Amino acid sequence: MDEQTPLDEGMQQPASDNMPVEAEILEYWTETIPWIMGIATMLAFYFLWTFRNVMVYSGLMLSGNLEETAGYWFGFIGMAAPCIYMTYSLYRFAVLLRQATQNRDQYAATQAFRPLRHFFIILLCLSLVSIAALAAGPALELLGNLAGEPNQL
Amino acid sequence: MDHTDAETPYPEEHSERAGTGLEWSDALRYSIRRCARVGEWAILAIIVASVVVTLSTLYNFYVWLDDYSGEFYLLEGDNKQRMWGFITSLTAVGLSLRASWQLRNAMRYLLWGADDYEDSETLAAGFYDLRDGMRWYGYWSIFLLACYTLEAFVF
Repeated sequence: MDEQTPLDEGMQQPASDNMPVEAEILEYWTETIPWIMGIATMLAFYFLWTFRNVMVYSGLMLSGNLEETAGYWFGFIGMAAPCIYMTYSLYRFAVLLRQATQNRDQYAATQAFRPLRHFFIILLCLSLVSIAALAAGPALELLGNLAGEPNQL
Repeated sequence: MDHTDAETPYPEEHSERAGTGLEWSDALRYSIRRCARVGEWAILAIIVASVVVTLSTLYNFYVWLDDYSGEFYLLEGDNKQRMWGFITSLTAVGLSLRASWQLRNAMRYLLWGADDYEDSETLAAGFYDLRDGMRWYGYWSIFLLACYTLEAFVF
């Protein structure tokens, strides 16, 4: 006699008829992890170096005026926070991917792509800001030239 | 005990399933799909930014050379720094573009592969390109860090 099973059985757990992750893909993941770790480490050094330069060139952000000093620090934190979070996200992605490959941890594999998504979101925002900043200079110059031409004539 | 063909898996198939222990669950596919969708746009923005930086660098260098008067000597004034900046900027952008192109392919394959429940070859291609893209970004970051270190000690 067939056993009667509830219809929603297996809905909370991964279905057993899912395709397996091939050994080839696990090999790719394993080879990717050291590169991601390396990029995260070097990005951290790069950001620290840039922040150090910013601090040095702005006189360690210590001016006599309290509002000015606070403004510097808020600007600095506002600039540093996304960079630090980007580096952390990349590091977290590498750690979770390593956990997934070494322990064959399905949950870690699923969670690994969340920090990578956060990394891409911040990267997208920073890229758009960079493009706007790069394009703003020539655009303003062009507009200035166009506005100045009739006066020169 | 009678084993029919339907009950007995092929040896290769059996060993593959037993070897990995991970599976393409719906949650994993969903996670990859969400990541790849944002990743594709982010990489596209990086490619556009790289092109803008290249054009800006070339334009600035052209303007500088155009305004330059007299004989050009590399060690005169800040010529050395300018030439160094020009060459390293273009090399860094080139490496970044190479990596971005590979990652763009990776994101597209991952996006397509996450939707395909029958075949994981596309996902494999995506992760292959992801590995290569990260490798190129690794070269890029090594180059950038080496340049910064060299600038700190030499210039």
